[in-house]
Amino acid sequence: MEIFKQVLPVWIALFPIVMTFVIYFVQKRSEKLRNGLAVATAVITFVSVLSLFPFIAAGEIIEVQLFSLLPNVMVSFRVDVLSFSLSILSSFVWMLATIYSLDYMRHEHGGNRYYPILTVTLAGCVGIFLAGDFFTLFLFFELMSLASYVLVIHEETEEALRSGYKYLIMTIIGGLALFFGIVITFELGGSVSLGDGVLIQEPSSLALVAFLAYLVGFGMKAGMFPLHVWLPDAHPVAPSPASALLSGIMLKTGAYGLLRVIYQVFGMPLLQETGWITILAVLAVISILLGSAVALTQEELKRRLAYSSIGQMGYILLGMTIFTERALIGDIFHIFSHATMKSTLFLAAGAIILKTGKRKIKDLGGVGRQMPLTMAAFTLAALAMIGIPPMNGFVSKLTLALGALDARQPFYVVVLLISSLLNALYYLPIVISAFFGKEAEGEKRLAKINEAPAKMLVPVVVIAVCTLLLGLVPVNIPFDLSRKAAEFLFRGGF
Amino acid sequence: MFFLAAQDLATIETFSLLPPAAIAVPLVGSLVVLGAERLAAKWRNVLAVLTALLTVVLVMLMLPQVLQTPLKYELPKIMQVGLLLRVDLFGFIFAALMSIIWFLATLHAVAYMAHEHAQARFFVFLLATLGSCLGVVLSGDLISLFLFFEMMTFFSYVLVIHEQTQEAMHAGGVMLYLSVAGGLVILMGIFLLYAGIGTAEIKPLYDFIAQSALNPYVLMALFIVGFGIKAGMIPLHIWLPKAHPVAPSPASALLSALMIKTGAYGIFRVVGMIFTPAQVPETISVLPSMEMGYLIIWIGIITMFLGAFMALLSTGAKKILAYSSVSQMGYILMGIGVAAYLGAEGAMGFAGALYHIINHAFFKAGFFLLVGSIYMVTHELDIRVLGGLRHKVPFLMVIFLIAYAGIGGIPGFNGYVSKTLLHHAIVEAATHGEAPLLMWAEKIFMLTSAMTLCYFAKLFRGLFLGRVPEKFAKLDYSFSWPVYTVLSIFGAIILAIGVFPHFLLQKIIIPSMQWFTYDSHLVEHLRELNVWNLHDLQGSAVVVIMAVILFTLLDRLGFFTLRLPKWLSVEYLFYLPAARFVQKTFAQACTAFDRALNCFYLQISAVARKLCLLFVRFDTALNTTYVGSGKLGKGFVKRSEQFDDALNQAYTISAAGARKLVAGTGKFDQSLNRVYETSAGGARKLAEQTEKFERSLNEVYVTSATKARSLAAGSEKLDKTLNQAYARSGQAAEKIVRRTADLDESLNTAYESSGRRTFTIWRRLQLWTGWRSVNFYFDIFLVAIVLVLFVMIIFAYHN
Repeated sequence: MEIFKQVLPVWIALFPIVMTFVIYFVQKRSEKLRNGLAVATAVITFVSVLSLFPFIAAGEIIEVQLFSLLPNVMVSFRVDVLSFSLSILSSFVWMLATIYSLDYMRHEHGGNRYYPILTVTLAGCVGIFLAGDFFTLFLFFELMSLASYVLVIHEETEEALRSGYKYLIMTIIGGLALFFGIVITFELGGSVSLGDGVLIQEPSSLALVAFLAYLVGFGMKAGMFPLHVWLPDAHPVAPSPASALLSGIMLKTGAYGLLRVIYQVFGMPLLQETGWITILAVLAVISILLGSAVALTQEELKRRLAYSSIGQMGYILLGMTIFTERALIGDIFHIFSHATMKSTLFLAAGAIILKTGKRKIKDLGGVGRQMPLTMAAFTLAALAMIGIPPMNGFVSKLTLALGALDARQPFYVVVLLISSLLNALYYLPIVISAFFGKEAEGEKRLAKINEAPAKMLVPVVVIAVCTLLLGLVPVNIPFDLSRKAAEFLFRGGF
Repeated sequence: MFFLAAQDLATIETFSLLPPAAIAVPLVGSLVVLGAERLAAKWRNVLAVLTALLTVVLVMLMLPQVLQTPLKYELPKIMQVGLLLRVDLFGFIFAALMSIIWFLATLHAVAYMAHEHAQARFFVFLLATLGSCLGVVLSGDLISLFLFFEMMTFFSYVLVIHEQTQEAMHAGGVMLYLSVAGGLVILMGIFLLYAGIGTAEIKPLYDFIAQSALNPYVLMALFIVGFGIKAGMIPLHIWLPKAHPVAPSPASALLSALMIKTGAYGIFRVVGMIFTPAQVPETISVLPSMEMGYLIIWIGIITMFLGAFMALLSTGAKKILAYSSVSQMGYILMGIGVAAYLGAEGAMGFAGALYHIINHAFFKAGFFLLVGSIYMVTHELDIRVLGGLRHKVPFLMVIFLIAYAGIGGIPGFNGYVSKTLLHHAIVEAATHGEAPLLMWAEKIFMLTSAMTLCYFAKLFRGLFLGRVPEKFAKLDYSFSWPVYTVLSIFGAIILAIGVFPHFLLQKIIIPSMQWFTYDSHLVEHLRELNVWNLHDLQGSAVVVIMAVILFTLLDRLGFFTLRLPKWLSVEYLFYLPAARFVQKTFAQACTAFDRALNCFYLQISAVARKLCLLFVRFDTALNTTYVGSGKLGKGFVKRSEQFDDALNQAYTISAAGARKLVAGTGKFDQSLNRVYETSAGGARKLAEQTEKFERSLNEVYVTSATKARSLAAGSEKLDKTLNQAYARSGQAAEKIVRRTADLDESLNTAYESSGRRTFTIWRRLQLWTGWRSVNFYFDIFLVAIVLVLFVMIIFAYHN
């Protein structure tokens, strides 16, 4: 049992990497086998993460130290309740997105490149969450960032390449900033491990530089204003399952990193005393309002979704600056919520694009009659985005807002609600025109139901139902995980 | 058992499954109807009506218990905050009203919708809306209420836009976005309340609120605005006159009669309950809710007046009814305001408002269904076009008149009692509440009542009086049974309440005050109230007389066809600019900012590129320098080359000179040569001459030689002959020699033999004496002389 526990995190992080090569070499033989292996990898990863649940539920922290690169710099894994929460979330969504890809990518070129990259990105993503120290985290962070570049430029259109280039440059800048932050942390704290408590105790200008470097590094990945510029370009051009993962999961790696930085590198007292946290709070508020407002003017569906992600990531960033336990619960739960909502939206958008080829919002009239289930899923997620009860978006918004009020910050709540109104203004017209609108001119009225293939429809519906259930059900494991993770972070990561 | 302190509430609540069942049945029923559409379309309508009926039954089953204790049902942890349903009599009244009218409207809809498109969708959402509406009024805390409130908004949206015309979509959009905005404002209030005191239960909470840091004014304002949007409160009403007319009539009826009441219900609950203390305060103090009540009174007054005013100006039948709803909501709000304003003494306002809610629900639903029935036949509702229907549909005219009397507050019909109560309330507020300004409110109240009569008179005239236009004369005006049944029931109820006004007041309305904080004294006073008194009847008569005068006046002035300029509407003045601000200015500004940010990044990269270019340029310059210096070097080289060239040229020239010289010399040489040649020619000639001379000499020689040769040949011939002569002499000499040789030989032999004989003798002599040489020489000498002599002879002979 002890060995099982020790091996499992390493296995979870390395298994997809190994499988990447297997998938790569197998595809010459048979595409079917390749697809099967890709799905199997995602499923096995999910199941492996799931098998950590008993330990996590028992409140254990699994630490695995592999080998040391430098004195005090180990390659290590550490699974606590926050790592577990995000790993289970990402492997779950990944599994669905991979299944979805089977039919989506059938009509696309370059499947031979897509599946191995998808798998290696999974490894990077889960590796970030399971990493036991910032150095290991950095390794996986770079792996994920660089691998996902290939997902971004998959279409190889000029637009995709330009967006991908932007993404790459920003990612590299972010990676360098992150590395800088890690180096300073090591200098000041003597360790970069997540298990050593709060690493930087004393305020100093160097510590501020480290904080800013982390903000740039992780904030860039999280789509934080003003480093979000790559996001609305990169997310829409990727194939839809990849967009879903980029927006739904990979953005969260930035949020995860910042959570670790705020609560385990600097600690609440230091950030509060020095007021450094205000920097993040201000940027988060701007992200929320800016993302939501700009989404309103976007005419392309996926681009609107991408801007919406900026706003929603703003909620998450704001939540971690409030420093009340309830806000933190809402914050972590919103990571779950946004992942399910945004994945649903992107996957549904992908299904629409695949079936109808429509990318512009004004062309979407009547799509709901043609694809009722897909649009129903889209509607559920859109309502969740607005924060309509009983969706999970409402629960996270409620918890966040109450947390903000606990900290006597009604202003934040006003921001949340204004953003919700803007969400309504840009999501509801899509839903309305899809179900009740007229078809675009020169198009016949398609009364016939013409849904996407089952392998696409099922993941969309499953994850949409998740948005409903994660709000509604009384036994809400993600919420309990969020609560435990928030308690855990409030204790300082022990 | 009256007037228990609210804190004791929890101890006497009864757990019951009826409230959730009443909510769940229509929600599940809507799904069943959806399924039935696929399987058996015939059963769809039946199922819908039965579901509505079942809901009525379930709601009514609550009554016996609710009269005793509130019912409670709790689902903890739903949405992480739990779902709490609590039914007191107040909520029950709304629920009963909703379920009954919903059932009737559904029944009517079976007839109305028969020729409409998307019937299944209509019934599905009709039932779903019922479920969520019931949820609103059965909720025990504001969060659950909010859940159902939002559900109601979204479900009713589908009812509003049912026709899917452009107008309907626009109206639906306005309703949806305003409702969502209102919902968010309510949510803000809920957040603040919940965070402030840890609960959002619907019960008197002012004691907690006063202790917390919450600002009750802000909080109440939030709730009033949020619920006010749903209630059609001016100036938040703009969606209502748009949305209610465009929906199919059964839906309009429910929207106008019931759904806007959820807004009133919310304000009632918040201002009249949550923000009141749990006990009647011993000392008289001004509570925030009282001050807000004063505000609500005025909002109500303005709403009632402006609603009636707009109704006077409208010509669409449903539009008039919609504005009428706004106006009637003003009455209700005023009642709520009075109830709050007078605090524990507000029982009269409470009763008036609640009673009017009930009454308005019946007559307004009746009106809408009636007008809808007309629409089923004519498909036209503009009163300028319609007319004369009294001949065609006398039944509808009767029902219309009953409802008209009801809404007009004619004694004997239901509106009379509620308006009387409200009138009492406003007067009480003005006198007891020491607010003399409210006497003006009372005047407006009376005026508005007269205006109400006026605009309905206008509607009546437009629909039923006059002549039937050609277009509508030949239509078939027979209806199916649900229309007659439903409208008859409404007429009967309006009459029944009107004739027995005290029954509802005493059996239902006064008991429903049980969980509110009202002075029991005043409640008892209310219980003994009798509306059949001269004073109130007089008031009614005054209103009627005013109305008659007003109607004549306005008609003469052509007021009914007046059109207000568009810019005067609150929509034009505030909402459109606000929407434009959000949609255009704010969003565009943010987009521009985002684009600018993007540009900024691109600029940075451009600057970086420029920097790189600068380096490149420096590099180029450096390169240029090298190249320049190289060029210089090259130039130098070229110069030197040129010099070299020049030198070369010089050489060449000098060479040419030399060559010329040489050529000159050559020429000289040639001439010299020629001279030589000439001289040589001379010489040759000389030589030739000499040669000639020589040849001639030679010839001379040759001739002489030939002569000499012939001489020689002659001499040779001579010689040969001589030679032959000599050879012959030689031969002859040889013959002589040979004869001499022979002789000699024979002599020699003779000598030899003589010699040998001598030698032998000599030897013998020598041998005997010794031989001496002197003797010998002599002998040889003699022989040699003989020989020479002999040769000489030969030679001589030979020649």
